[in-house]
Amino acid sequence: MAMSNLPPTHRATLLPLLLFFALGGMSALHALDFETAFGKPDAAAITGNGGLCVAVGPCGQITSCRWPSPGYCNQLSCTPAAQDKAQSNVLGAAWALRTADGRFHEAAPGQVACAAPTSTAIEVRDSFQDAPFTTRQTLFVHSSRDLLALRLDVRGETAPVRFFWRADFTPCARLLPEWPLADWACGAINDFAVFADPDRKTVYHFRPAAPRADDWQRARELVGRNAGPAEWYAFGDGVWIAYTSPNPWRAAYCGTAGEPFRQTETDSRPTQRAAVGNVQSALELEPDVQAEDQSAVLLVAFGKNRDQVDALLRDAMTAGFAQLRSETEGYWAQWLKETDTIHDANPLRQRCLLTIAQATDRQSGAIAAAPVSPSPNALDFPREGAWTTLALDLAGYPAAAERHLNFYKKLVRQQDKRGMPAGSLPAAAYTNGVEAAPHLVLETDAVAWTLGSIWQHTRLLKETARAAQLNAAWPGVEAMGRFLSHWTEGNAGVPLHSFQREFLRDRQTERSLWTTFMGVAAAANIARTLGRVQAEEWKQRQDELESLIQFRCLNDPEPVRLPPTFPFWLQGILPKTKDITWDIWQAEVEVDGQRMPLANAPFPIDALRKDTEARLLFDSSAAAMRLIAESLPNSR
Amino acid sequence: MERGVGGELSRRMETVQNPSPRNRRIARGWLALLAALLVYALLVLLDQHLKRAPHPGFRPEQASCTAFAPDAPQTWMALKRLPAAKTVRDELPRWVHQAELALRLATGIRPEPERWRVWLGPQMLASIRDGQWGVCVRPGVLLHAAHWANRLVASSVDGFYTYRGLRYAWREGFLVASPWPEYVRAALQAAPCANTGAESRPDGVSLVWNNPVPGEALLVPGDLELRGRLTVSIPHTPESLRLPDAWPNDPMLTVSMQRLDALSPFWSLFADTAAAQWLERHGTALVTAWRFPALPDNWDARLSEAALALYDVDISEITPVPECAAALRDREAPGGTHPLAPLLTGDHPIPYAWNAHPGQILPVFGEKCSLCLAGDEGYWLVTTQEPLMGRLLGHLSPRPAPANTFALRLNCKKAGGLASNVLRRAAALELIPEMDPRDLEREWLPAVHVISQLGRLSVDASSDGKQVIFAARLSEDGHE
Repeated sequence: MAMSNLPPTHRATLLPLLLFFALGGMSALHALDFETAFGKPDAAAITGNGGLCVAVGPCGQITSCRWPSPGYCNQLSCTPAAQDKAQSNVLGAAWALRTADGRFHEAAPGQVACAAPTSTAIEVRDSFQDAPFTTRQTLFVHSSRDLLALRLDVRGETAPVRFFWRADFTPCARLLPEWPLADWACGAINDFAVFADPDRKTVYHFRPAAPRADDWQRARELVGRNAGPAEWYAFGDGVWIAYTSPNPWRAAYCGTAGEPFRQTETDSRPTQRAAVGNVQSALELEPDVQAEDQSAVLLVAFGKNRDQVDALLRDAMTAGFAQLRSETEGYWAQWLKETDTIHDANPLRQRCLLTIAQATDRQSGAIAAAPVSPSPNALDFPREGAWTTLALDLAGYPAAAERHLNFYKKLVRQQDKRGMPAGSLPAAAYTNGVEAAPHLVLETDAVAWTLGSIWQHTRLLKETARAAQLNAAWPGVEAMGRFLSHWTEGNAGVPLHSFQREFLRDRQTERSLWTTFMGVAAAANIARTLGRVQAEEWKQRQDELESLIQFRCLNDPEPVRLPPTFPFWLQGILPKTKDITWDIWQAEVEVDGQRMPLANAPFPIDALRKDTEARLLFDSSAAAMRLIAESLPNSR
Repeated sequence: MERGVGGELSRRMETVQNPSPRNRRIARGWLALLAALLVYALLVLLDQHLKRAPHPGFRPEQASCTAFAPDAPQTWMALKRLPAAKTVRDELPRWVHQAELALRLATGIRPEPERWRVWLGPQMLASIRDGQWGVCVRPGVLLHAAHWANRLVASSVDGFYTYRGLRYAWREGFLVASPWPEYVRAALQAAPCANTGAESRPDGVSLVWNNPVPGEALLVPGDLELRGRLTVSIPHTPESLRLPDAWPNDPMLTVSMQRLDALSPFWSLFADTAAAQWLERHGTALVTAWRFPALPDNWDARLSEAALALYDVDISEITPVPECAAALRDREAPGGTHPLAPLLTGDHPIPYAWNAHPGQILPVFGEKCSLCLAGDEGYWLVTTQEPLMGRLLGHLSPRPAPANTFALRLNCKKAGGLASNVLRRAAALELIPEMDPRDLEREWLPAVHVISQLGRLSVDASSDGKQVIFAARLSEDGHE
């Protein structure tokens, strides 16, 4: 359809459309990088249980402790990854060693790996600066208790080594709706107090819920007169983090920011056993010595009051590190065996599944994209989460996929508000369902991908189950479908402006047009399957959007710019046809420098394998894409 | 009879020449009273003589800021009579009490205007240099006597005396006091202060400063006015601004300027602050990501005035969303393209019309944050929300303002209401350190309420090419 054949009035209407496609397409070339905006994730691996999720950095230091959900606040102070790794090795929480010659060894980049393919335990080897010995750190979160267990083994040093564990916990008891910065940018005001109980051999960091000025005053007064632990316990519920060790204590350090760390570095004696404000703590332990091996164990419990953490630590001390590890590994091995319907025990698949499972909130079913620092990573993004749901379906975990979809269905806005129409979704959410993106951000892609995800999930079910699930999902589908199909400019039928991440503002882009088309097609499929009256209206809108895409393809010689995984997704929504008339599958795309019809675009298995390799141990989105890549027949 | 009168007379003479003990006591009493009155009169005269100052006083050379009050107690009384002062006393009794107590503990004088006059004299000169402040007064008899008493218990160190944490010294009848001995030393070595500003009033405070831009001002609390001048060169234009009071529906804040770069000499005030650096770092990245086309170099060539108005801030959700407008006065005939239209060329704005005025809307962050462009009879308008454009287009009432360079109008009641709501929200989200909503209501919101009661703040500034003359005043709520 050439422009010169059109009547002048049509040309006047269609010219802006061309401009829209041309400019929208061109501007997508320079996407804004998420990591550039928020910083690189400071993690190499995670270990969690769906409640507590701990991330370990490349130096073996703990960089985040998210509790009581993988998407909740980071209870550890850790600034975004420093360019200089030497700066980041004392952030968060980490072991440190002092050898007999007086040298102080802090964490440095080491080898981080999972202890075993079916284990959530992490091992970090040789991660101390200039150390004349080898080290192995093992840590894991217990499968059913909010408990972190760590063990450090030093080998090859006959002289006694002094073991320190240093922590900058910042208990945080609140989320900021719309702004996932509560822990990341507000660390200095999140903390409250730390105190050591020498009788119980436990150090406590805590923050009461909604502390008042009187609470702060009382805490300062307790520090001023060196009050006993019993008076601290009276503060009540909030966030309590306690740690202890079966190894004998040598010293406990408590103080405001920097002081305990400095005291351990300079081998000074502790001066306080409590502190208020932006606080840190440290513990010196006497190691177990067996010939050339020296080791120490630390147990960290998370709870909402002192009784809870004490009970967790008491049970953990009774059980011991080995038993706790055995329980945890046994749990996950059994989990993989019971729910892996494919039963091929592929280590890579198991690794991906475990990463996704550890990023899943055990209460809500939400899946944090990457439960690490900085905080915007630890949210559930419907646009990316659709792939995670599909990965779970393809891997044989329909129940987990269903839970994830149910989480998204609860996010659908039911009432119209300015800037938040009924049927729209937040661009991101905390794992407890609170909206995590500013309400001004209206991302229609989130709606489209959720509709597509519902269709993708149900089409893999048996027919009887499919109808039941679609009927259960219908209220949300109806609202989303109505919103997406009506989000149009009117005359030209082009979807209205919506938030585009690459530009950090509202725009109309070619990619968004395709995504809207996909979402409306999915909604039409659902309506048609259920025999709903909206089927015809949505099919009509689907055809309008396809016409717009066709217009662009036939009048612009440039190939369509779409994410390389998009054709694969679309196949699940729109069957390929062999009609001689033009359809969407004839749109031309570019793959590895070659032009081809969309119908022939392959799933980028090799590129995905390369892109996701470094992130499999902590990024559930990367794990999901890798799981899909490994699940496809032509991947083997 | 002669004997009776003469006897009476002689009896009285005898009384006078030989007074009785009782009479002697009465006479002594009267003499003492007369003596006391005489001494008192002498002391009053001496006191007045001591307090009569030949010049404002002493302060360090290169002081960054100097304030001089010819009659500080009178100024103080004028402040106390203001309705705002009553509001401060009613809303912030604890703060007022703490301030008065601190002053009393530092000086030993109960903070009341007449006691100040009695002890320290009428005039006061205060200044700041390198973060150190001090005052210079011309006291009378009482403080001289107190000083002599202090000398009995405290000796001088390097020529300074100490009283309750303050270091002080005397020079030519002036008392210079400061917490820092360096300040006192520098003041003693300096010449008498000659420059306290061109204007002076008995019930006012004259201010002179050097940084960041040299200037001077006169503060007259009784008139609720601050007027002065700044030594900064901004191009002069004879035409008055016309937009400061043109906005309908009483915006919370308006800022008008003859040129968009009128405030650039003041950028150095903020350039080194953490907020400015954060804004530059992240704001630049954000603007770059947005990828709006650049405006042409001469995009503002036709504009003779620019004004910004903040009407409201929507805090119904967590993210506050301002409702803003900008007006650009075009010196050429109506018609042509909106000067900001080039910003929209990279996108597909939505054609729109308000009251038959054509325009465009480009959503930036949804319907609450859009670029709405339209024009009306010599003015171009930009708003962030479509309904606001409908309320403004065709309803501006431009009229001359007493300024040709810069003008500001602040509705303190609306601003205070907004501040209260934002603070309450921040406290509920635990964003204010060590404070929850109840603490906030008790500690900070009364101060915000005081600000809300200030009425309307107007600032007008005019440039003559070499300096900017400004006036700021507070008026009752409602237009002047």
